[in-house]
Amino acid sequence: MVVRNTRAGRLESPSSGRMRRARRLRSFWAATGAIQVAFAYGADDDLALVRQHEAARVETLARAAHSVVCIYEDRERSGGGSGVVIAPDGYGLTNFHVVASMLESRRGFGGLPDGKLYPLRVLGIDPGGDVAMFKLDGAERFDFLSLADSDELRAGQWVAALGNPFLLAEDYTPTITLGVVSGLHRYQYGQGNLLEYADCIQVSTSINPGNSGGPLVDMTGRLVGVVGRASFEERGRVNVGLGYAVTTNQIRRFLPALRAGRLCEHGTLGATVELLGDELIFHAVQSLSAAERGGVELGDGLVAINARPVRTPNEYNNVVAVLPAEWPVSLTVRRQGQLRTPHARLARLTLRDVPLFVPDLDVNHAEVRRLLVGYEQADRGAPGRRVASLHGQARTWTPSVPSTPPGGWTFTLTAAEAVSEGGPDAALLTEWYDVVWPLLGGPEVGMGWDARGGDELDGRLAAVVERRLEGGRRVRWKFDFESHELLEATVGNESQPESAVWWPGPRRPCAELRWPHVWRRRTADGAELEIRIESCEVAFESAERVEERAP
Amino acid sequence: MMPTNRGTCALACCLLAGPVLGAVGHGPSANELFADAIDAGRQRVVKLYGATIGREKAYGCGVLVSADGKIVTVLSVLLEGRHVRAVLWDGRELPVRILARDERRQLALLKIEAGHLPFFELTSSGDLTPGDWVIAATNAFKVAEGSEPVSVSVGLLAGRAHLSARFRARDFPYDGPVLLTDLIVTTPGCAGGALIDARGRLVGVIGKPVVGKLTNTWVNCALPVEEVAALVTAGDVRLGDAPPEPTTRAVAEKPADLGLLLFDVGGHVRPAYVERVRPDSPAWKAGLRPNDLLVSLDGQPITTCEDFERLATRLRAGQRVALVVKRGEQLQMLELTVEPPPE
Repeated sequence: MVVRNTRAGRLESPSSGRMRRARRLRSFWAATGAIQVAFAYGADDDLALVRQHEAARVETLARAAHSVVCIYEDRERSGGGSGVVIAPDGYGLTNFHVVASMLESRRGFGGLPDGKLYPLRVLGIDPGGDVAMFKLDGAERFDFLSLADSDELRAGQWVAALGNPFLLAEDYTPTITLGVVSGLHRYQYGQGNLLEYADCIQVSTSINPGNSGGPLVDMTGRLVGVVGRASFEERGRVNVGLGYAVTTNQIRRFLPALRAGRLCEHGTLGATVELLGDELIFHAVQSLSAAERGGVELGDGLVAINARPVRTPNEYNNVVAVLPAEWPVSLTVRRQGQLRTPHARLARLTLRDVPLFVPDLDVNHAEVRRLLVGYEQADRGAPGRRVASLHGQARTWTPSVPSTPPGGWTFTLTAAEAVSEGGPDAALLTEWYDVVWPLLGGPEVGMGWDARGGDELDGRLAAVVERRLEGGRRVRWKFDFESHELLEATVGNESQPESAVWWPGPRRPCAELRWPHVWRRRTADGAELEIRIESCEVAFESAERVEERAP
Repeated sequence: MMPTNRGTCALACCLLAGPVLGAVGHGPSANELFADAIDAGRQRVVKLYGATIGREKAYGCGVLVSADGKIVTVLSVLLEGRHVRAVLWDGRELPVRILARDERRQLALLKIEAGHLPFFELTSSGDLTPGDWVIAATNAFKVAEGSEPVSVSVGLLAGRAHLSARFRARDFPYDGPVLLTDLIVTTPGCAGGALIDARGRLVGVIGKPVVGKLTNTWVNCALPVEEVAALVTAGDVRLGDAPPEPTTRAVAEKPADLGLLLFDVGGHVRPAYVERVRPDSPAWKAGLRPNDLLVSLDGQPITTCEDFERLATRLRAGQRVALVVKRGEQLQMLELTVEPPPE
């Protein structure tokens, strides 16, 4: 799921080599009592390097500051915290506890370093992980920070926090504090199962009240975490050099749900572990829990989850608590000396004491539209009303459209015979039609549609859209979250939502419609089928034309 | 919209990283600069657990100074526990034996039974000058557990000074040289941690959280490695040296003996809270109880411990005085009869 980007680390290594050489050179000259000139040259050289490096840092952080938001509850700029914009259209991240007081109105204000106060909408929330998403409105384009791979961090690495501690930023110019990564994979208990900081980054960077929700950036100006917590104890609520940030790799998995304006839920295996000697043992496995359904038995030794070694109860918490509900996990367990790899989907971890949060359907449906359109645009270019007809060689099949969509356009679809014996099966074609029709811009997005959140497919982060049809049928589309490419679609019912899987084969130009010409289907019992489009013709009608035709 | 694919992502990185890329060819990277020192330092710091204070288990850290398991840490209540344990970087948990207590330096030498351990050479901190990098490796707030590596923070050597400080209400016995740093190392669990230089050498052991007498602020300091070496090699440090008599003025028991001890921890503001009342003393008979805040004595306002000390010295046996205290949210009027001091 994580796009590995090792560039930053590798790029920097030659420089340090040079620094070391410079230092060695200097100590050599010093040791041999070489002439003062040479020594001075070495020192100047080092100083120049330091200055150069500092200039680069200043530049990077100044740039990063453009994306830092000072979040306020109202125009009087009361309450508040910090946030960071992560997409040019104004989507941003902050802490749940920063927006907790705005949940009723879902409205707030965000100040940017350009000195302007922008209206802010609260979208999805993740109270369990203390993350929330907001969207700024009122500008064409916002400066944003891209998300780094937080697994690449190392202890001792410089990181900067930007934000609005003690609400000092009268002109919305963020306060910058610099420090190092003090520890990684830390686990900090939450309140019940809210505000749990699992697998988090510990920093020595000054984190004070008001920094909450602000970005933690590395020295290339990329986002590595969202700062939200610090250890204070008896010293009062001021920095003592221990701050904690939620990693970008945790947040990334929740992004599809956060964008869709949902209440995010974390996953649980429904089993607890205990350290017995050197081995971590499952010492309680709830019946019907994710662990039990996956095949974990009481007394199994836990070795790894998702290929990450798990040796202590803290590590177990760290690995599981950063995953959303229904997330796929593969476990490695030891039973009687044999290694086994049960697979499971995490169950929901029930949230207690969460303020009432009714997901905003408009936000959700906008996200559905964006994902569907994203797929179309990836294929076709110009938007507008579509009239598509596909002609196959076998026979013409006109599915019964429940009601004629507005705009008065028609849809004719012809499919080649499925490879099954006896020709295309009407039920199968209807199912295929349910899968592909919305991708062609068919039905209006409304009741029954839901952007459900994220999933992981072959290591790729997917955004899942679900549509409930008559008779309890459900279709789910899983799009790659970054490229919007359709990875697969599933069809099923309420109890078994993914009983059949459809996925597009390789794309081949098919008239103007660069539509995948092969669609494959697999059912739970392993049967495979294929629909192949032999040829097709597509006619597009402009939106104006459609309007003209409309009565 | 998110950066939509690898291509865009890489492009964005380049754009953002532009100025840095220009400099990378020449500048040092912090990662590379400290990585070795941090890795080495973290392996040579142990987490210590000992006596239970209230419900909380006492915790701290120590530094390994020999391959056979000698550990230096600060003297603290932690060591009074029956089962003091050290947790090594690899998660091994071993019982600790106390070899020596150095009351003057407030350090202790411990021993665990293990071999082939990584350890700090005890050299010198002499070539470290103010402004040089220092790294603290500690278990502040016991964030790290088991095999989790201890916390590190990077700062500067701020200077060297002779210590004149208080620990809680008492004078701190050590008045020798210390290394001062801009790092905050006075948080719970820091004491006994390692202060190392950028090359990973031990330059000091982080001391107990003390308050400077002159400034009344926390002093972020470490005992220089020379003092640590002296403890490790000294033959004259006897086990269980008696602590020196506290030369304190902070304990405010009065000649008139009202049987009253105030909660005086020093600091800028010293409100006159009652810490302890001896049963059957004049104060007890008058109805004073712990946690009362003294407000006035015979009409004279009391805002600090000093006010009370000043007024109390004027009291004579047999005198009856009116005392106003604040208990919870209520003001209480009490009457106190001063008794002659006991023989």
